[in-house]
Amino acid sequence: MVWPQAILLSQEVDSIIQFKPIEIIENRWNIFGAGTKTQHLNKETIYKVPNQNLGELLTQNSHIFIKSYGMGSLATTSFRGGSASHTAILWNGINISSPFNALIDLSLIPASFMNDISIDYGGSGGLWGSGAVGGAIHLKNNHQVNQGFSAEMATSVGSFGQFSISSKAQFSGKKSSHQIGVLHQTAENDFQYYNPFSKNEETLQNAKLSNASVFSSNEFYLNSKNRLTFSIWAQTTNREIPPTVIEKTSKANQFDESLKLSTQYVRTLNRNLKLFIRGGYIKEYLEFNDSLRSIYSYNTANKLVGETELIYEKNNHALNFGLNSSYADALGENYTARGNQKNIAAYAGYRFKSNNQKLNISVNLRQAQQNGVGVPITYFVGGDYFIFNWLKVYGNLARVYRLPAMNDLYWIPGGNPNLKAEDGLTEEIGLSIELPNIFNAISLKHKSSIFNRNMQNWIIWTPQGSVWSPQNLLEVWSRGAETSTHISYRKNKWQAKVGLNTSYVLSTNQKTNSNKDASLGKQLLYVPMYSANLNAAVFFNRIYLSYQHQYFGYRYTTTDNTQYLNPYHFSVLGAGYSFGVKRIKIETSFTINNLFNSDYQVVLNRPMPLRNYQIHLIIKYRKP
Amino acid sequence: MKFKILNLLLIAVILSSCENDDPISIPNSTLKDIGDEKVWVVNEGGFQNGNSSLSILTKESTNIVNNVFEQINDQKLGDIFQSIGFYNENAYLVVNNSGKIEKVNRFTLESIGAIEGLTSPRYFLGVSETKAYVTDLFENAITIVNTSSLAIEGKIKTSGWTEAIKAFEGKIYALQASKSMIYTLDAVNDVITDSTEIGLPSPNSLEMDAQGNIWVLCGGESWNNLKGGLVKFNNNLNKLETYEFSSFSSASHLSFTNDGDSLYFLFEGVKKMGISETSIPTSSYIETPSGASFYSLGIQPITGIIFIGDAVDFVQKGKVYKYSASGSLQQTFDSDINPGRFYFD
Repeated sequence: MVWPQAILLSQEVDSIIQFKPIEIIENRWNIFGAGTKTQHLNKETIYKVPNQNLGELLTQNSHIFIKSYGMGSLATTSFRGGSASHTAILWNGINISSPFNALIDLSLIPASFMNDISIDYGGSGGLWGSGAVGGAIHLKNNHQVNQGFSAEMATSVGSFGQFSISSKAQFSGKKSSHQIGVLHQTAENDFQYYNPFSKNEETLQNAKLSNASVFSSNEFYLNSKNRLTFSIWAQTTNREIPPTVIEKTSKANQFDESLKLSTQYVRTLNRNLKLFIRGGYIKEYLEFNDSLRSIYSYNTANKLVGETELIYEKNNHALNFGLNSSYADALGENYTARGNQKNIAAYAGYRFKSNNQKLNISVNLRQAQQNGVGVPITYFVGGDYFIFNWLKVYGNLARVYRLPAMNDLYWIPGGNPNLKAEDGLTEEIGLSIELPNIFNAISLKHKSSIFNRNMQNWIIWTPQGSVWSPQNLLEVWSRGAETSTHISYRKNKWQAKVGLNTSYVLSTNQKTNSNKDASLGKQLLYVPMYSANLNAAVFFNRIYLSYQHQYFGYRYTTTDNTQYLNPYHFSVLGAGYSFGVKRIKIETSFTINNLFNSDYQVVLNRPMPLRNYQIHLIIKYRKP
Repeated sequence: MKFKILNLLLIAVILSSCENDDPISIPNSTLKDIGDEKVWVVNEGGFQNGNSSLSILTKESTNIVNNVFEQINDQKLGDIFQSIGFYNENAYLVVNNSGKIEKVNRFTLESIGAIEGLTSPRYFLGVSETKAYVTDLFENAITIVNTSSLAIEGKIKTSGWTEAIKAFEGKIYALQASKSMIYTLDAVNDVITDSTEIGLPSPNSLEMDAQGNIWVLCGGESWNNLKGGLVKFNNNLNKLETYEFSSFSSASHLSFTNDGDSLYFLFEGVKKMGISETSIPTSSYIETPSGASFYSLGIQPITGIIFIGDAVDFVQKGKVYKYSASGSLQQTFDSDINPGRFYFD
């Protein structure tokens, strides 16, 4: 293992089922992504709070700023000062960003459907293509052979009518491995908040949520040389859109329905050569109704992805070559028949690893084309080097891009079919320290990174007369530093863990049309300059107590930085107890969210709840 | 050694590049300059940002006071400040996405109360001591409000979204934007007495000229490949002339000088057209400076001074430009966000 895994809280220490990735190469990143900071969220972290969505999980456990519009509402990413469409999100290797707007609502991704989530920090457009600007998030359904049968049921009940229940089962034998899961969630979200406009305590209205999701992933070991994986993930979500604190009422609601399929066939051609064929299909249906504003919109998008890749590995060298093509279209009242995108990309990579395993270097190239128009060739060059066995330095240089989305090109009114891709250059250096065994009790892991990114042709929507239309306007310079430090202590029946992530991000607009424009050199909207999160936990026997703290600095809401949201602190206190009866294991836990009753907003005028409570129950059954 | 160098580098970079993230503070404007004769600047703010504001320029227009409503009334104005209606000693501030109209004293600017529960109000016209009409974006009706009890008293059904509403020579005219109609209304019986098709899309403003003719400015719909233009009616709403624009650019803010001889409007800069001219001038009276986004226009009736609002990038504090009647820039002010309309006292 080259990369130290982040130490993350686990609910129970004794019965962690160690997860080992299957021995097959499961994506090109493991080989060709040398020199990148990667954070790995294992099952224990993902499942710690049952039935969480990806937005909640990442807010607590990563450096990514999650722009949440409220409980259960839209949540998008800002990764190292990038825009919401500057994060590539891949599910089993397939980019699942919405064809409509190139972004993803993280509140609609049930984290518990994945058994492995990894985050690549920094630009990796040379590997993952469009959107891998601030970083990439890999959601995976990994499989292992011969694990027997296990099943679990998890339920959470919380304040404001929050209720969720999920069931999962998995079976794996010699010939195949199967996973299936269902999740149902409802919430009233009718919390009280202080309204700064009316200067009254108010109850949030029109904020109900109801969601049903199902997934299944199946892997078949056809023979020693052929392996086939097929996964399906479908969900339907009905959300009311609550009013902002300024609006008296809202009658808006949004209905999202999606179907995602992914498949991978791996053939081992000989000892050194493997062939991968991947396919993906995404269908999204989005309905938005607002009777107060007379808006009734219905739009559908389809995306089909195909990929072929060859990976050759021998001794110190590895090579890959691949072709990726995708087709997307959007239908609906806001698109014309021209609303489709055809993307093709060819990519190649080379990796060198020194004999003593100390040096690891990779070079990747990717040439993409959209609707027949070439995008500047992108690359990724990275490397890491162990100075001592406990100290590693790493660095990378990458050219990145983001293709305009369907809405940017074809939205009626305003879509601009002449948009160019956003493109830029990123650099990063960092160091990683790993001291796993100090005094036979303490383990220390630390990573520091500094990064820089210059983007041009950044797309923003501005009014052109009475119509808003996207233009390749901005040049954005993002730079900053991140640290993550994790210390754990273990003695007898006691265990303690502390983790601290800090981020400093400057992301400024470097270009304006006139000298009167005060946005020049100013921080982008909703990019906190300072943020940090702390996770601490103490375990004794089957009991644990955990504390989490998040801090986010000023987030500006006007481009001249004269209006802003105040910094806020957010704390979660948790406690849990688990016990087993034969093959059944029961885990119970209790969390207090927003422990110190912080009155905060993540997005302007979108109220957030004060102190609230959740009870969790997980029942696990396992038969080896 | 490498470790030390890197570590030092890291620390150096972090320390040297760290910036204080304390926001820039704006000095508080003072209210003492506000007199009775003033220019009202409607700053719309950003949708759902709740940062609309009223700015006031003094009569000589040498000083701007921003955020006046909140400073005087210790209360935020609301979301999307659309327009102002005046009646006697009161001003009615129409706050579109807050669905309300704030009634303030025209001279002290102190809040008297609010008409609430409107859907998406656009313009206010007082028609009697206690009655006013309010046009609405998302309601197929003009709302009748009582300006004394501040209650909604009824609706006059329309065939769609209504925009500007004005009274000329005792008659009331309103624009219906979605089907492009002009209405006349009977303010005693609260009924539409006449409706006429305008013929060009998206009418947004109307004025009466010195000869008693009514001019309607249509913004056009570029996304439907429809051009806007000017349409001239007599006061019985018989169509006299139609001047279609030569491009799909949008047009707004039809204004007149006090003498009613020339009309001004925003269309690829500021256009000025004499009422007897037979075509839309091709050259601008005031060109849009590079990088500016002309967003509003108002002519001070007595002086003929031209005020233009610049929204810059629509997400920062805007600018107000003061041009002399002959079109030369005299002064620039920093307003609040999206200066969208001017009114003169």
